[in-house]
Amino acid sequence: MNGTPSSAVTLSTNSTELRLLRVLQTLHSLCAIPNDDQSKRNDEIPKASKELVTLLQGINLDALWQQLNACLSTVSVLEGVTKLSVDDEVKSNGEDDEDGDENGGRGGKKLQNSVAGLLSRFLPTIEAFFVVNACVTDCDNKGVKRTDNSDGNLVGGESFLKFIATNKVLLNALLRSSPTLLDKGLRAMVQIPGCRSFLDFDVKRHWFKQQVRKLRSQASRRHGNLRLTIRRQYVFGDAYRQLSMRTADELRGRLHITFANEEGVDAGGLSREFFGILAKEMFNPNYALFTSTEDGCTFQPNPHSSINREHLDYFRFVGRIVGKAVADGFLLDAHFTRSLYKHMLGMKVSFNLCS
Amino acid sequence: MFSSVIQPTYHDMQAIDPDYYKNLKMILDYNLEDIGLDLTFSTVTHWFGRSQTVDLMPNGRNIPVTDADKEKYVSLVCQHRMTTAIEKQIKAYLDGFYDLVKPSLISIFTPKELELLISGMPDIDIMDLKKNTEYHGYRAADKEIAWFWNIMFTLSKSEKAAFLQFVTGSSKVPLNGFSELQGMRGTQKFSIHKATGSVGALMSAHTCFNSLDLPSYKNEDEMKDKLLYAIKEGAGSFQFS
Repeated sequence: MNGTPSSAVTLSTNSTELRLLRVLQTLHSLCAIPNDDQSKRNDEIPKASKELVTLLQGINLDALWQQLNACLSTVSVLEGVTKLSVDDEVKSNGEDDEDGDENGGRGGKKLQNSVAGLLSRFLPTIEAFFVVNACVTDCDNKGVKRTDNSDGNLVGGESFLKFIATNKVLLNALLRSSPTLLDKGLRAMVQIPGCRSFLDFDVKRHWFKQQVRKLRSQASRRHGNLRLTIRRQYVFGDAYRQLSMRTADELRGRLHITFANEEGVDAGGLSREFFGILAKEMFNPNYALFTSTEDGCTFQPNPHSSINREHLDYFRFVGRIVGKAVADGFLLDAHFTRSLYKHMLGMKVSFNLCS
Repeated sequence: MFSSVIQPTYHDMQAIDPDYYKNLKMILDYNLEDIGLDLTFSTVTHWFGRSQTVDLMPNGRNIPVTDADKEKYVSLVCQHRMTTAIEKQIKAYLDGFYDLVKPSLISIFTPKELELLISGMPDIDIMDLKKNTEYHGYRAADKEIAWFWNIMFTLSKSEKAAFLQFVTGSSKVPLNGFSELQGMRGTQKFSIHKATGSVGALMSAHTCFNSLDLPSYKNEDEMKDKLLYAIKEGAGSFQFS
């Protein structure tokens, strides 16, 4: 295992690398810190115990990682990614430039066919790299910098994030060709906040959709579909009353909308219409829930909303509607202020009053 | 970041917190020395039972407010109060949102991406729509189809949105453009069907299938009139498919 790591990558088959990966995975699960909270288990960054970190440091696979880096940079050059990645980075780093992101995403998609084959040759080693480096530990590590206040110490530290940054294009291509990796070996890419910014939007969205689809079908099995009968003149009020009676889990089921006294089976069209009406109604000034910003395009909660006695219940309802739309993949013609989006993402909002 | 948030004036404060408004008015109307107030560019907030001193400008808690800049102080403290005034609303909204979408799932996105996730791409690209259109009963080279696209390119932005609402039931373009337009059975590209009705009849749409039934017309102008009529009248009503 700790013999000649450099020879591993020269093998034509990757059985040795697979064996290394399995050994590391086994070590990891043996030494893992047990997590009591079952529900949170999948969301959390794997924690490594002090013994494991010491053990891994003893094995010292740095030479292998160096080889891996060298191989991946060769792959980048061979596949013409290196050049492209520069363009990509310029575009997507251009402070969330929409067009750039989209083009970057498309450019990346084109790459996948040529890259994925060659790249998957190195997948076991990449996964091994993640097993060793992409976990956090409570103990202090020399040479390891804290990457995020809440994450504790990342075992791989700076060099791990540098690896992700350098191989951003290849990793995204890999994840496009086998998206399940985000639930498995490359889980850390979504778990560690510092890694997420290196994922392309389409990769993230695909992962997100998979997750909510799972939750939806689980909830549908438990509670059945979410059937609402709505009077067309009172869409907002009817939806408000019917949703408030339900638990969060019941809301996750597949949505079926019936408009009262109308024929028609909801196969998507009626739900879409339902959300379309709600997205308009939630901004109806009569409810006093939202105020538009100066440009009239984006909305944020109205400070005077308390003139509507049930305003907080209404806000909860609107939040559920937006959440339901996002979870079920319905677009809402509803644009909120940047600060509200930040709140939704759990980010700190900068009240930079003096700018 | 703050620029996207409404900028309330201190007069708005009168409705929210009349007592606080009186205090602010007093600060503006009298000399600070006369009313014996020692103010700094900071304020204390109470958020979930914790009080915290917040700087209204960098290092604000160490910068005294003078009569010369007290208007600035009032404006800053109002902005702050007005945004903290909506924290209850934000919290209720988030509670509802998180009922459906776990924070750990949504937090992988950036604010901009979240906007795209919720609202889709805002611009309607007719070239893209044209590229992703299927024809039934028509061929792409037919004169009616040529007229149709001529008309589409002349439409205003809101007319394009109205057209999209008419045909798909939503004014928003899918995240990856019209190649991923969703219908009742997953991806359903926009399609134009030859309507069997008489020449010059109204056009109709089936929102479940993102399809438009296009009758024959005498000329391009007649088609445009009927199209504009359809998208105006059709907006808001649901066509059975």
